[in-house]
Amino acid sequence: MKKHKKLQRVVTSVLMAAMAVSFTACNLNTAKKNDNEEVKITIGGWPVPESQPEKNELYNKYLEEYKSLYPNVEVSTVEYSYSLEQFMSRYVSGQQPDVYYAPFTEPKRLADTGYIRDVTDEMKSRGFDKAIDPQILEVVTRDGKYYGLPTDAYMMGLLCNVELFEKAGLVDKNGVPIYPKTYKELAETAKIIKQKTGVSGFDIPTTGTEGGWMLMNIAWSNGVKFLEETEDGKYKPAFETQEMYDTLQYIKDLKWKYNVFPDTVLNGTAGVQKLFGIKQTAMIITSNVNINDIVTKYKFNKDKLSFTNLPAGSKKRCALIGGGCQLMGANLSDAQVKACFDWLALLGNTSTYSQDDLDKIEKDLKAQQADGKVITRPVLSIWTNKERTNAINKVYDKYINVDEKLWSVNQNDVVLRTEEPVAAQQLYSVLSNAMQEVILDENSDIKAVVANAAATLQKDYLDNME
Amino acid sequence: MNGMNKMNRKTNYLSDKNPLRNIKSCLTRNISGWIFMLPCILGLIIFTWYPMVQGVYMSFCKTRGYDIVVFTGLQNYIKILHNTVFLKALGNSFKYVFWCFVLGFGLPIILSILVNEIRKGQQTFRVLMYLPTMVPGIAASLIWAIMLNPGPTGLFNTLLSKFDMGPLGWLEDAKLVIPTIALTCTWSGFGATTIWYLSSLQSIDTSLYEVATIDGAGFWKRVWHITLPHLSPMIRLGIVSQIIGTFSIFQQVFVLTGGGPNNASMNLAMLSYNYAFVSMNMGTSAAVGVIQSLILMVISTVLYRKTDKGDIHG
Repeated sequence: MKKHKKLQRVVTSVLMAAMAVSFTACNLNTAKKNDNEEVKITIGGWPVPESQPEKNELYNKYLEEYKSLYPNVEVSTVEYSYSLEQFMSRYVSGQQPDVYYAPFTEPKRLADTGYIRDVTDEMKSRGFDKAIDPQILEVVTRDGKYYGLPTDAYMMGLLCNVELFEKAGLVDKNGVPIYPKTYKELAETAKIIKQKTGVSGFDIPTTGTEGGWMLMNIAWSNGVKFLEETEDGKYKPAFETQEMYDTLQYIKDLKWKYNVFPDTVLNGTAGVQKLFGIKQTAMIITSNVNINDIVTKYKFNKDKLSFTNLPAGSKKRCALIGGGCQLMGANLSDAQVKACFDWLALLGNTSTYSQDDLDKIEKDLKAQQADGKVITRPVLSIWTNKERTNAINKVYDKYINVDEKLWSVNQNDVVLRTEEPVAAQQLYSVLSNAMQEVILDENSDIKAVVANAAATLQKDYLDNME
Repeated sequence: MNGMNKMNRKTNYLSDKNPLRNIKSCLTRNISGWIFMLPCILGLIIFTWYPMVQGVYMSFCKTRGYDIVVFTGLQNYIKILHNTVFLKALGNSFKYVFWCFVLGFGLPIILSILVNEIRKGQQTFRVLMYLPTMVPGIAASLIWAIMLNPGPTGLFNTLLSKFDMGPLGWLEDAKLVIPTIALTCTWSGFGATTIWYLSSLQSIDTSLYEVATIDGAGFWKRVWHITLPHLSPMIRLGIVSQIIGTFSIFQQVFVLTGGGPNNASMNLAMLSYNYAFVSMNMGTSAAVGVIQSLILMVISTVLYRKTDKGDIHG
């Protein structure tokens, strides 16, 4: 018994000591932060030295500069940036970087988790609310608050394999592909390519949320309206219309009338890009930012790539806006948010541009060129200041390393669209299922498929929204 | 006598009517045993029991991210029951169990018996059979996806064409998708299960076979009267673990089809994933997990009770 009591006393003493030490440490930390405004931030998406040695070196220099400008900020860097599956677990376990890059599809839904920071004050105080295009800002806005800083934007276009167009005799005298101007023409062009080359003429993602995401381009062009706000502020599906029937009929025809798809029709974006990269499909809907992947992963000759505006539908010519933004952890203090914005400003993300910002863009392009990346002119600017956009384009012009005559994408020729305001991912998921049904079943009843998609969206998602 | 005294002492402290004194007494008398078990118990509490309890509690709450906002009772469960895909996912989960059972239950037993009969090269067969288990799951699924290409150039369809059959849609055919995924699961798992049965077979006293042979028993009689009765407890455990594993199958579904085509391969695990990572709704996702666990608990209990009454073999 004596032994047990002795053990008890030892354990109690150790626990008390540990608690005392941790309390003291906590107090010291708090005092330090309050007195000296010292903050610590973790920057995500740091360039990987193995695959981006030049960019890594450039960022290391920026970091040194940042440390000398802001000695009160302790910075650590990680290569990991963001992935949907890991995000929440990483955030709650403290492993998500404090500032990180994420695509435009994410800010709204991440804002709903409460794990990203409302940065409205910092955005306004730095003038980003005026400097960035309102349509782009909308992407990072939830309930009137900004949840991230947009840094780049793109719009969807049509990527063509020039070699396959050549084989099909679909190029003009300058060697430029004869682009389809309408979706009907796209189907016919794809059919000719398949007949003459044996390779799929066109492919589109159909799985997960990516199928529906891509379908939006065609549907909007046909005049489909997806959601309607009701009087009580809720939303209801509005796509049980002839325009939507026509859109799904078009997808169905691509498979059963024109037969232009590859053998495997259930693909995500990566699968479709892979098929394009290995020359198994001639045209895909994608953005210019994905072209680097196609060139580097599949050794695709960049001089045989052509990128043009998406075709027009029966009503207009729409293209979905995509891009990326910098998000910050919800647990960050105001001082940490400021430190993150200071870092982003040092990289050239400022509301008013200067020669220094342009120099940084140029340095970044030089590094990309040295790392063997494809450089094209940005197809979409996030800035309201046209002068700034022109100045940036001039810098890019010096480093473009693709055949320019094959790049004819122009934002002025299309109607740019952003995601639906609510349940966008759920809508995409429902639409992907509808696409699968019409592609896999020749006898599918389009009206029934659309009705089912609308009912599912209403019952499973919109009814559950608050 | 000494042993009897010890037993009496043990039963005395357990029979004490004061439960607190019971626990205290139990702890103090076996202090060294408890200390040895402590790391394991702590590990179980931290990594298994606490997350389980937390998950169950979360399923009754409205969540924001992983944070619990408010207790909502059965709201998440009602939401799931009204989900248009839930019944399909539930039915599909049972279909996975059925097809995995049909394709993968007998094969390891047969193989283990055959390999056990081999006198030379048994080690090589063991290694060869275990190889699929060693292939990382994602890599295996990706290889399967290539082989199951639905076009005429896909490996399986090329083979079928030799017999003037196909091409089949495999993973893109709503009717074939679940048996096809079950086939890939069987390929990945049969090796490990075979080794498992084989280890049990090798513990059988060989004199039993010798005596049976002297008595004139042939191969089938030896299998029926010696091998299968010996394997019986393992088979029972195998059935339960196979049901648990295949009812909650996720990786293959996620990689090969994502639940498609048009939800044809959607199961409860995939539905739970969609709630968590498409809708970002952890509470409802946890509720799907709880439903899945409850179903498995009922099935396992019924199976154990049924099979406890008699061996699998006669």
